[in-house]
Amino acid sequence: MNTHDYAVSDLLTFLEASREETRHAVVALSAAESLTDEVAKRLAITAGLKSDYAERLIHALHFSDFVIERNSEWHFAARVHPVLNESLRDDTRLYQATHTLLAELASEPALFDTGEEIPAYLLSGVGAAYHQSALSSQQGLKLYVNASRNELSGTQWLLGRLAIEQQEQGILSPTAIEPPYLRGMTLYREGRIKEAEPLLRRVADSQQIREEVAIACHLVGRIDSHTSSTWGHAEELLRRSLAIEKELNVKY
Amino acid sequence: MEYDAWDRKWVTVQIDGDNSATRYLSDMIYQIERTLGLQTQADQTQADQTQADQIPPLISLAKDIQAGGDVQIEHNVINYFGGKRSGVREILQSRVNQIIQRLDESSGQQRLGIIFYESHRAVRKELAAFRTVLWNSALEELTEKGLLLIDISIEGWVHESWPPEPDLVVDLPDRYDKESEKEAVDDLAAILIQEGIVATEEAAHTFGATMVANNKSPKNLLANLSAMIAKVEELI
Repeated sequence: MNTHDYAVSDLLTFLEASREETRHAVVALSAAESLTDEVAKRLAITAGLKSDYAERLIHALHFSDFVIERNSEWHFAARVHPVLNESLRDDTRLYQATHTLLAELASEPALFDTGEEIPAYLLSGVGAAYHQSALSSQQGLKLYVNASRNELSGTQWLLGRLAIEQQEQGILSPTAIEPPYLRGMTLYREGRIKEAEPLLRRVADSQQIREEVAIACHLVGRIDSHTSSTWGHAEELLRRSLAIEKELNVKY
Repeated sequence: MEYDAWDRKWVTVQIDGDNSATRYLSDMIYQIERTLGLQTQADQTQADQTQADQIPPLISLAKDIQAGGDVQIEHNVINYFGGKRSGVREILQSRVNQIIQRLDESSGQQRLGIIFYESHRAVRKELAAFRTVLWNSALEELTEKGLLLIDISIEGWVHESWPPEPDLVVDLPDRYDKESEKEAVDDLAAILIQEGIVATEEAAHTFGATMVANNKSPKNLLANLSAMIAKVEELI
C-alpha cells in the first residue's frame, strides 16, 4: 500500500466511524475548491448539521492531515478531494444543494454577512463558472468564457484547471472547446508549449467560427511552422485564423 | 508557529505554486499586501471586475508578412487577452515600494515570515521574478529588521535563481535514523511520564522504544501517540 492509499484509507476509516450527518457534512465541503470557516459552516449546515456542531467539526478538521491550510483559506488535500467529490456526485440532492449555495454566493457576494471571510475564487468569476457548470453546463461554459477575459493570473490558471476537471468528470460536454482552450492558453502563457499543444489542437480542430478557434489556429499554426513536414498544415491553420477574424469582423 | 513566544508579533504568508492565490508574482504581491493590511478582499474583487468588464480581447496575429525567405517565429509568450501593458511595470514597482515602506515602518512591532511551500513544484520563472522584483532589490535587506524567508523543498532541488543563499539549512527527514530514534525514545519517555501513563523512567523508556520500533516515520508515531493517549484517557 503506498502513501496515497494510506491517506485515502485513513479518510475512509474516519468517515466510517463518523455519524451519518458528519459524513454528509464532510462530503458537502468538497463541493468548494477552497474554503473559509464561514463558508464551510454554511455548507455543513446545508448538509444537515446544527450550527454549533458544524463549528466544532470544522475546528477539528484543521487538526487532521486531510486539509491543507493556505493563508486565510483551506482545502482538502489533493489525494482525498477526488474521493469526497465522487461521493458528492453520487448524492444528487446534496450535490445540487451545495453547488446551488456556492453558485448563489459567487454571483451575489452581498449575500455574505459583513465581515465574513470569502474564498477568493468565489469572487473572481471562477467560482460562478465552476458551480454554475455543475447545475447547467451551457450556462457554466458561458461564465467560463467571460471569466477568461482577464490577464494571466492565478484566477486564469484555476479557471483552466477546473474546466478541464469538469470535462473529464463528464459535467461539461466532451466536445466543448472552452475547457481545452482555457487550460491550453494558461499552459502556453506559462511557456509549457508541449503540454499546451494537444489541448490547443483540439480547439483548432473545431469547425466553429469563434475567436477561441482563431487564436488556437494561430498558435498551432506557429508550432507547425517550425517543422518542414508540417509547413502545409501551418499555412492552412494561419489562413483559417485570418479568415475567422475577417468573418467575425473583429480586430485581434 | 508559536506566535506568542516572540517579542514581536508574527504575520505570515504561505506561497504555494499549486494555490491560485499565490501562483504568479502579481498574486504573491497581493497576498503580502493583504497580510500587511495594504489591500482588502474588496479591492481585489473590484480590480478583477474592472478587468473583466473593460478589457477587450486583443491579440496580435502574425499577418501581412512579406518576406523573401523563411519566416522564423519563436515561441514567445505573448499577451493574448491584452489590456494596456504600458504602466504595468511602474504599478508593480509602486506596489513593491509600498510593501517595503510598510515593513520598514512596522518592523518594531511585527515581523513578516514568507514561507515557500514545495517550491520545487512552483513555476520557475515566477520564482525568478519574485527573486528579481521583490527579494534582490528590497526584501533581502529587511532580514536585518526581522523579515524571514523559509523555503521548503525536496532535498537537492536547486534552480539557478532559487532559493536565495540561505543562512541556515535544516534537513527534515521523514524517517528516523539511529540518532533520531534514540532522541525520539527520550522525548516519548518524557511525554509518557508527564501524561501519567507510566510511573517510572525505565518503564517509560521501554514503552517509548516499543513505539519507535513500530513507527518508522515521525508522522505516524505522533498520530499513533495522540490516538493512544486519547484511548488511555477514555479507559482510565
